Amino acid sequence: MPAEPNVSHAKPRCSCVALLGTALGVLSLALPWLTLRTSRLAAGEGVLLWDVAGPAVVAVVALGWFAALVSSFDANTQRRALTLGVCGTLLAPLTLLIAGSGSTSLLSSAEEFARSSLGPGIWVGLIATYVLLHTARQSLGAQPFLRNVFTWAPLATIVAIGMTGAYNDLSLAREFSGNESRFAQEALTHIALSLGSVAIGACIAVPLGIAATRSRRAERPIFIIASAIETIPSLALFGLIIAPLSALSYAYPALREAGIRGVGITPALIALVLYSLLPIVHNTYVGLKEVSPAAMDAGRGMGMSRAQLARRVEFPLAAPLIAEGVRTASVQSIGNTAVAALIGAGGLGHFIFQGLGQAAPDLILLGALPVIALALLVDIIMRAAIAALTPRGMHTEATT
Amino acid sequence: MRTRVISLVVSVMVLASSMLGCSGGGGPDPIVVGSKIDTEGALLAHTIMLLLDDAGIEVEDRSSFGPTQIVRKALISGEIDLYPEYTGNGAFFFEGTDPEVWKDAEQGYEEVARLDLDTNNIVWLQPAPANNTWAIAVPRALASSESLSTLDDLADYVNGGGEFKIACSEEFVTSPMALPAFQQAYGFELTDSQLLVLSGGNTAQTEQAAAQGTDGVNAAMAYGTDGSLSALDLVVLSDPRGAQPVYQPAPIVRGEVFESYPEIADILAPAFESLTLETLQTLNARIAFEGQDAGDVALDYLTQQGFL
Repeated sequence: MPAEPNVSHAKPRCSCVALLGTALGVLSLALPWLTLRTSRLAAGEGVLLWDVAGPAVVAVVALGWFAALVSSFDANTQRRALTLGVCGTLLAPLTLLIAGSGSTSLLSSAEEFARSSLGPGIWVGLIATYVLLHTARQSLGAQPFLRNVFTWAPLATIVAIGMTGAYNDLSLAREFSGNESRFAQEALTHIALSLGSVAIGACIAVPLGIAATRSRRAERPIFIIASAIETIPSLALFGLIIAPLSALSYAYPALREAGIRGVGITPALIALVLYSLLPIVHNTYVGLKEVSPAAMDAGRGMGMSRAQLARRVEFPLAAPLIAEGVRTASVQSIGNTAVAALIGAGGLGHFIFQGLGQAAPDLILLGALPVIALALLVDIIMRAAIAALTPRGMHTEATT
Repeated sequence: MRTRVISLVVSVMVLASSMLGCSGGGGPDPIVVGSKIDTEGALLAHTIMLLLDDAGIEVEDRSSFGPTQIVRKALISGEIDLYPEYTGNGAFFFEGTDPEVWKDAEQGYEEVARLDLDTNNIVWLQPAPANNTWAIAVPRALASSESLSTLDDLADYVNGGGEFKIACSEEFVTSPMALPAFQQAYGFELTDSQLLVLSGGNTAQTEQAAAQGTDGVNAAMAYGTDGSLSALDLVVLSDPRGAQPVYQPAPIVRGEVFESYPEIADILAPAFESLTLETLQTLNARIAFEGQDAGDVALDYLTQQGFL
């Protein structure tokens, strides 16, 4: 992050990233904003911004992107960041508000089962506003308050507008209300499966990582096996575990009684635990190897025993990297858990596969969007936790 | 800090292992109802659960459990107690049976019920009189202009050089039970240019293609009870020569569970007898086409028909 002001000093004329975002934003105006279908399964027909919004609203959106365009060329970094941030904060909720109210007006004159989905214009527009906000936040490194405003204000506004029911006529919202009873249950299953498996995985992987640093004999096999697992496609791994697990549960009825069967939660959990091993083993290994010999020497000089060295020097110094491995494993696990719905373990993949089966794109999104949001959320939370876990002297290194 | 991290890890593990653990303890176990991960599976599972619940039997919802092999494995291993299965699938579950048996509704049902009881102690209950088999559907406009109503009509039309292109899955083309069976029974042969193979294609996609005329397609691989057929204005060509096995959906239940609850046969039978091809098409359409909740559609139907 300290690099950013230097870059803008070298090229004071404009911000290339902001310009790219603005270009996307202008492009979004020309793309269809909504897709109208005569039914949930029918082919869509693109609807442009000026077909769903009045001239005043179109003018406001265009003005917003024009302001962003102009400020992309602003040499004053501070003022540019502020303008871009304000533009993004206003344009993101406005875009979705237009999508919601546009859908309401489109559906009022359409057939009974017509659907209105978010079109390419909205998606590109939202990505563009994200780029603006991101650029603004990057340039505001020294002002945490403004950074937070530009992170949470657009999100809060979008949610607040949603609370009023403004998006209820979007097809995605219809899918949600058609699956409401199941949504919370599948989301919770998804979270429990993905994070539970990483927790179990960490309990196995950290000792393995330690073993790999301590013993040359153990190092190779541990890495070969952990890497080999990672190369197996997720659906294949789920499938591979089912057969031996079923055989086991038939051979030992006690296992079956305990709920360990060839399908359902157990094989899913095993597969996800296996996937979480490599990132954590790898980071534990690197973290311990990277501990500076000087720090170890200092510890020894203070008369620390082997165990004291490990507890008070090695592990505190390696902890941020190990936690980094857990973060990677968690984000990866949240994605992989989507496949678990195919082997009876549930999770948000349920909606993705139902949607694929019915060829209903918005039902697929109902599963996919929360998976993405969950991965981002876990990523943000764990980054913050890692920053807190990092010893003060290491902060510069860990925040790169 | 560290103790907090450890306690977090421990609590997550406890949570995960409690999910693993059996749900036993206290009172009779509920009947665990599963289904395949498709529209009709969800509809039938909810129909079954509502009826059992109404009769005072506790149920656990595991509907949309997974694809056929997974649900079947779950039933055999006792992960679930009951799910709706199709009679014609007996041909795949049991090798070396006479293929002709599966083309007759009654014989097929008796055969699969007998084999599954002997081999896996699974009881087949009353099936619905609806045949959800592989079929060929064409847009209503084409059907009326060329007066197509059976596959015999279609064979005449294709052999007479009529324009024809069907959207289908790879399996439909290669599985001897599907297109090859139709071609042999009705005496026509489709060229490669008359096939639009959607890899991994399902009937929702093929029917959309036929309804929209994508890439010159004017026919679709379909299943008899697909909800989108009526909604997309496609008609199923009938199969008077019986080229296809009959796939009637029936609740199937583990023998041990059936022994504790023999009354479920009588609870479910009347409702399943009422589910004809047209009824299932309409109910499936309300889920797949209108986007309603499967449970709501089932509740609505059962209430209207007086089963609840």
